[in-house]
Amino acid sequence: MPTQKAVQTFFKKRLTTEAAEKMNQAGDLWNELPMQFFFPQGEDQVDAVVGLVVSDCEKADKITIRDDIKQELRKLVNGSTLVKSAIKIVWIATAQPVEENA
Amino acid sequence: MNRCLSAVTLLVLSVPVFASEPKAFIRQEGDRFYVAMYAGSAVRQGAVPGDFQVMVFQDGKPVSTDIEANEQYGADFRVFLKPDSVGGNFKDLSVAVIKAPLADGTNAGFLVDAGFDWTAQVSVTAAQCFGQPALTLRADADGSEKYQALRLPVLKSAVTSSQAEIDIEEESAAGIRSYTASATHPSANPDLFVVCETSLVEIPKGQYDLRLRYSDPHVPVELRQFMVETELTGTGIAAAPSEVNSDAVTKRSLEQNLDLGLQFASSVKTDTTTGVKSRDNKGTFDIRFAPFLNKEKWPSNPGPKPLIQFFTPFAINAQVSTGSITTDTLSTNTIKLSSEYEWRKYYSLKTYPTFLRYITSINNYSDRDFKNAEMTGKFEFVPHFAPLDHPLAWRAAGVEAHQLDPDPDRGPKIIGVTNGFGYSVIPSVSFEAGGRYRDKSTLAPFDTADYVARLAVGGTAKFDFTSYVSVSLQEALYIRGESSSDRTHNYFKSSIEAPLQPLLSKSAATLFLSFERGSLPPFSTPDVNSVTVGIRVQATGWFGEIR
Repeated sequence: MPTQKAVQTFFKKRLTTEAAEKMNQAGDLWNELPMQFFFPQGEDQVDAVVGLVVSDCEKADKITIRDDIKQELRKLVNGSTLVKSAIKIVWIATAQPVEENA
Repeated sequence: MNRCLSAVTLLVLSVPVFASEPKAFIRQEGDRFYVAMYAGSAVRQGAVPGDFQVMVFQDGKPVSTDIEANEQYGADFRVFLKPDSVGGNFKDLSVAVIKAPLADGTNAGFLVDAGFDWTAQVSVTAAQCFGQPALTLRADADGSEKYQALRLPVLKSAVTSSQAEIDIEEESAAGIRSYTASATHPSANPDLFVVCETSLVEIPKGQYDLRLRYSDPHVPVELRQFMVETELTGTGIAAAPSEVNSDAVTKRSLEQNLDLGLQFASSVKTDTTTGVKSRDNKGTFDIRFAPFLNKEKWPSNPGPKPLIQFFTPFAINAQVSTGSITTDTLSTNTIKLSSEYEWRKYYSLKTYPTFLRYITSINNYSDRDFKNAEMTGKFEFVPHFAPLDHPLAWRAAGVEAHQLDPDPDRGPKIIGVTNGFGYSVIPSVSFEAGGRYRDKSTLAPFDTADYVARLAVGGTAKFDFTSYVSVSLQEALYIRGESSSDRTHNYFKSSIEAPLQPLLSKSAATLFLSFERGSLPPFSTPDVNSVTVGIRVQATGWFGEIR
């Protein structure tokens, strides 16, 4: 399971790649802003970028997130969701079961 | 029996009597200010300041330990405050009582926030103020009735004689706007005093924060409270929606699935030969309605270039007018029922994205009176190229922290762009084929062919000349395989729009001038050729948050 800090790093990387100009405007406040600040066109991009972050988490931790959870994530994170909330939601969604004696 | 009663009585008497909660009220006595303390239990008679160990804090900083053991309005003791030491605003005061001698010989200790006997609030919901800010002073039920009765005339006099300042911080604008307000429509009863603070304040755009303050440093202490109301709704949206239907590209929220326009015109005609006057009433009705939410389907691993599928089971798009369909009609008088499936392929996810829409649909077109009707299958290609799609509304001038709202958990505000040029050009091409199953109209040139096969080329464009004026265009050139006498048919609609200052909060108004010419499938009605001038008003909050 990735740490919340790792999820934040993935988000920052994706937002810097896809919305560089907006990230410059946001400065240190980038994770306090709603997703639609970076993607004003609509929900598609928000859903797609969240999907990319989940994919980053899967690759980094060699885990597989179920499709129904990915679908729920698309419902939970929308344009008005603050980036910091999206980070927490993805972090919780990527939690994996751990064996009791592990 | 008597033994039983005695047992019950003993039981009741043995229940301990709980003391009330400690309380603290900020009060004024002439030029002196103090915190009146109610310890919750009786304080020992004859206690002197030295018996107490008390400290008043403001935002965690100690500001006073100046105690007096008596208070004339029923408090157990009081702690004097110097305005200079509390920054003049008496905000965020709390009292730590480390030791207060009680009548039963024990000592009390507690921590309590200091309030006011009259709590001041600013709001925009007072009925008599019609959306203007109102100052409300409410008597605290736990406060001293004697003190409250004494203060009410003082407060009334101060509110009506002092000028209030209204500060407004819009969510989408930089800084704060301030206005001077004057008190009107006061109303009072023993525990509530309301006064409108009327000013020439413009209705703020979108969400905003509001603060009421008095610049006079000598107003009563109750009027020095921190009076801020946050996240209020001004105009519902910055501007009413565009005249040309741009068909929301993304998945639509419930409120956007219904778009209804109504228009009514009445005129008196005089017959030049007979001199007889007659009134002519006309109305038009324009509705776009997709009652079921779009269903969407994502691939398991969409990657950076996702292909998303959408299904809209049923939609209706009708543009009809009242009266008989004649050559001087105000509308195209067409009704389109459809079911759509769309593949949307993204090639770039950037702020200004590039994506292609491939839409297949089954459509039923008819005129308003169902004299002519046809059923077609349609394929439409709508590309969105990033270099052609830069609306002004997608830009931001900057990001700024809130100034009025002290809540550290509230995100920053996004400053919108008002000056500049924005544009959005979206071409489209479509082909459809099908059959005509009803053919009873004689109003338009109409062939007897039973089949329908047509190509349409066109698109929409919108140009923003600052955020105050925009021009939108919609064009479709139809090449009709089913008609030899009317091979090409054109439909054009344009409009110029300028947002207006709305008269009511939670609404938006736009002045528009639009021109519409041509007709739409099934081309069985005369071409419309109309110029419309109007004001479009949209209001929010009809059903809670649903627009």
